[in-house]
Amino acid sequence: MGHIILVDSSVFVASLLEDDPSHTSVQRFFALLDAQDDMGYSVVEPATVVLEVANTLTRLGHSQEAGDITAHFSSVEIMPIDRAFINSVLPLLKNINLKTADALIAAAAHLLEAALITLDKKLLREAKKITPAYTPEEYMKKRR
Amino acid sequence: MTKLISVKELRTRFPAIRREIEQGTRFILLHRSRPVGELGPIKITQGGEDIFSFFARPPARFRFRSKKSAVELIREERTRS
Repeated sequence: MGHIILVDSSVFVASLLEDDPSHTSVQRFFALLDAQDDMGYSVVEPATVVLEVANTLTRLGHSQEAGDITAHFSSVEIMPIDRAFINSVLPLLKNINLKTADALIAAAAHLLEAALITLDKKLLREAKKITPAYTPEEYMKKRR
Repeated sequence: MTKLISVKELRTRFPAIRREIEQGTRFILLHRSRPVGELGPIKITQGGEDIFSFFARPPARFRFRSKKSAVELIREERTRS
């Protein structure tokens, strides 16, 4: 198995927002992964990430495009939030000071031994307590 | 490769079974000689080419503007009730 990564919603949305401070670096991050196809990257996402990306675009007034974008997650393994997941996540919550939506992303990365990629500084800091976590820039430096 | 394994064997040989699963072996779990479930590696789609290329170079109709950053928008998404 190659490298498993869990990309946070903030990273996907930044690649679509032309004004975002991380827009260019995030696109370079995805371009690097695209170019390093032989490295065997696999993307896994909790179901909430796909919905967050779609709902964020919907709130910006782009509901049609939001629906179309979810089709591009077809090559991604979607991790269901089911009973087994809940039981696995519960023991991890005491180790991280995060609200539920953030905690389940960090916990999902930990359970899958995936590298978490996020632009959110608080999520990054707390997630590092239980799993490898990087900004897109940091991950690019690691992989070059 | 798929192998049969009893619950007792799973309990006593778990470290070795786990290693086999990580290497791709699937197991059919037997309880009182009847199959009760399957054990195997997580099915992760190899390669995210489609998603990588899409988000590296989103087509024009998927390029948006916002006064808020992506982090701010997602933070709102995760905290609003």
